[in-house]
Amino acid sequence: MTLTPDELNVLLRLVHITETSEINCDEFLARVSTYLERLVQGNRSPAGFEQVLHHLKICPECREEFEAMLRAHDE
Amino acid sequence: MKTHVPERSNTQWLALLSKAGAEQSDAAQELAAYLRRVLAVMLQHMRVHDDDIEEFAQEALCRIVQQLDTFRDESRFTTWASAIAGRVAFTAIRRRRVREQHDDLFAQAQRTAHEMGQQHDMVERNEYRTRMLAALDQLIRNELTDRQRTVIVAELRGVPTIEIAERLKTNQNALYKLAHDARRKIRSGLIDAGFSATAIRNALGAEDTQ
Repeated sequence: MTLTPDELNVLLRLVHITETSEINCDEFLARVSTYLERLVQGNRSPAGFEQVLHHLKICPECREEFEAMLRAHDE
Repeated sequence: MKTHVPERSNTQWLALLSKAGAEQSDAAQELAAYLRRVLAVMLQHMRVHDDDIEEFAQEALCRIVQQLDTFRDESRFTTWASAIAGRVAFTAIRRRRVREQHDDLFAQAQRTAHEMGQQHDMVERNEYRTRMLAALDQLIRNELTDRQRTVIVAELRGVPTIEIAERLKTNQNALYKLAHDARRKIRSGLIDAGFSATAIRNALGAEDTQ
């Protein structure tokens, strides 16, 4: 058994965007509320949240939770 | 859709929830009601019942009161609380999904990871992108530890991280580090094999990397 070409492609994308230093899911959870509020206020690229944005690209579970939060807080 | 937010300041929330007795109870009930409203919207596309939302809100409330000292006061308290509620709810839903599955996806992923670790050779291919994927496959087989390989395969196969962590007898933060270290090892290996970041980006295509 092996990984399929599709699975390898997904992994290749993740490897390509891997950073030397990344925040984990707990650290993301601690910061996501502030990031979301800046976003909802109209700041599409709030400064100082690059790691939060990066984590959203890496982690599908945190992305799913964030999109759900956006639905609940959209103004 | 705008969810009605209780009108208390962060300072008020922290002060009331830190107390004992009736004041804390009133604030807790108000917060729980807010969390139920937020969760109803957050989970509207999922198969959850009102009982589930009540359970998630109550568990989230417990966590929030326990973790009051971790609130950084950089956002509204209620937004921070809703993030915790979302984490509690989605984790529970993912656990439930694992229990309802007929197949043990983690066990399958672990078998694949183990077998890949036993088979070190790959067939040479000519086409560049296929050679890159073959190199990636080879790195997974030869450069990762068995544990790293298991995490990578399990995550790619959609096993929830809460399940992976429990099956590997670790926590989700340690799991993230395992996966991160594996990705970094693979990236270094691809570069050493002659596949630059530019080459990878070209192979993925411009849209994939935005």
